Amino acid sequence: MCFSVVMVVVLASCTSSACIDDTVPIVTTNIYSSETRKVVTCDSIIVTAKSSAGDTILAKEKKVSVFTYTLDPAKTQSTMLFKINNVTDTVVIAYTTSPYYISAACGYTICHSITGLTWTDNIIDSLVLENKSVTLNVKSNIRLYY
Amino acid sequence: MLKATYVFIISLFFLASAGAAAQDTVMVPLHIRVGADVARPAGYFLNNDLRSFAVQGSFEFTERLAVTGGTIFSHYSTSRKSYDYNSQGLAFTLGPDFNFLKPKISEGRNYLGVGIHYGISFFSHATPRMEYTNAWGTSSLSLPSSSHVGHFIEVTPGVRTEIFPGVTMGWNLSLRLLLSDGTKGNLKPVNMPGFGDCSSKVSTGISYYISISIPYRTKRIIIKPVEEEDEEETPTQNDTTKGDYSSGTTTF
Repeated sequence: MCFSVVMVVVLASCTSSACIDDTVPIVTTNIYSSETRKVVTCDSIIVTAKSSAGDTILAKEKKVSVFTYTLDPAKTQSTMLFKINNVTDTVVIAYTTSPYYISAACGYTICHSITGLTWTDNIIDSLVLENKSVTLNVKSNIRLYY
Repeated sequence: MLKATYVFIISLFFLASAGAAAQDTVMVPLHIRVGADVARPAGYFLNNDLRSFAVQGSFEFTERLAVTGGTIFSHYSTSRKSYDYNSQGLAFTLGPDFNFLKPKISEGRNYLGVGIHYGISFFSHATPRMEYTNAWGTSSLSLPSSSHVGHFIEVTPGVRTEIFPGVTMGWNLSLRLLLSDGTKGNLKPVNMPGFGDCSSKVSTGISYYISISIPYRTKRIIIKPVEEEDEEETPTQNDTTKGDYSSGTTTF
């Protein structure tokens, strides 16, 4: 019985499998009230990527206190439009990139380390960098106060 | 399936050996052993990405203890949907093997035990193509060849027996623990020679060695019969005895 279990483990390890892991690092942003400094829910949030190839919606949520989006892997900064409750701000995130090997089945991904944040202040009061590492399992990177 | 058949045959051989008649003195030859892992070249037919060869040598200090060293050559090259990768290098392992069989069962020919080996891997690897896609689009890059030195520990439970005079055959599992892949960064090796995929801290494998054994010394082990201390039963001629061992050596 014990031998059988060991053999199953060994043979299973020799078998190539499909990729079941997360492969896309995301920036996680939590929404806070600038007055109470506590987590709040916004009515709507749309994050749009501004790139030479055209605008792409990265996130579109309603009644949320947290939202996620990706960064441009080919550049060292991403310019995005944050449309919160129908008021739009421009957010620029600067970062470094580094490749990361996940597994033989999943291949590589690109992780980031955020180096700077700039924004307009139509509705956003401030952005606070909480965790600069943009990897596969980060709970919160940025605090957005509005 | 073929491996399972070999395991079964070897197990039967051990059982037959265990049933051998007891004796008071056992002459156990100690060997120098050199062999090759036939499972690795055969594995190429299952996984065309990996070409690997391994040789192993061991020196038996006693009937229970041997020191085993191995050399593994590995060349790995794969082309997947999102990346190309290659690595090549040499790994060396060294450590003790402990035979759990009693001398009168092993008789210097059979082995059922475990080895604990330290491994060091000298390798280079490169990623000529890597593609990553997210909502922004697809990014492509290549990572040039770089050389590293990795370290690992392997535990190798297994069996071995003499199939012809001077020729032994046996298999063992390899349960490996990665100490360091030597890259000091995020880019772990897809395949490190001697260890395998470094996306996990542990890896497993199986080896099937055919070896040439050269006896260099014979060790005499005396089994002292000890009568059972059971005073309530009347002693008979078929009383069971426990073995107690002492030993001497004979040099060729």
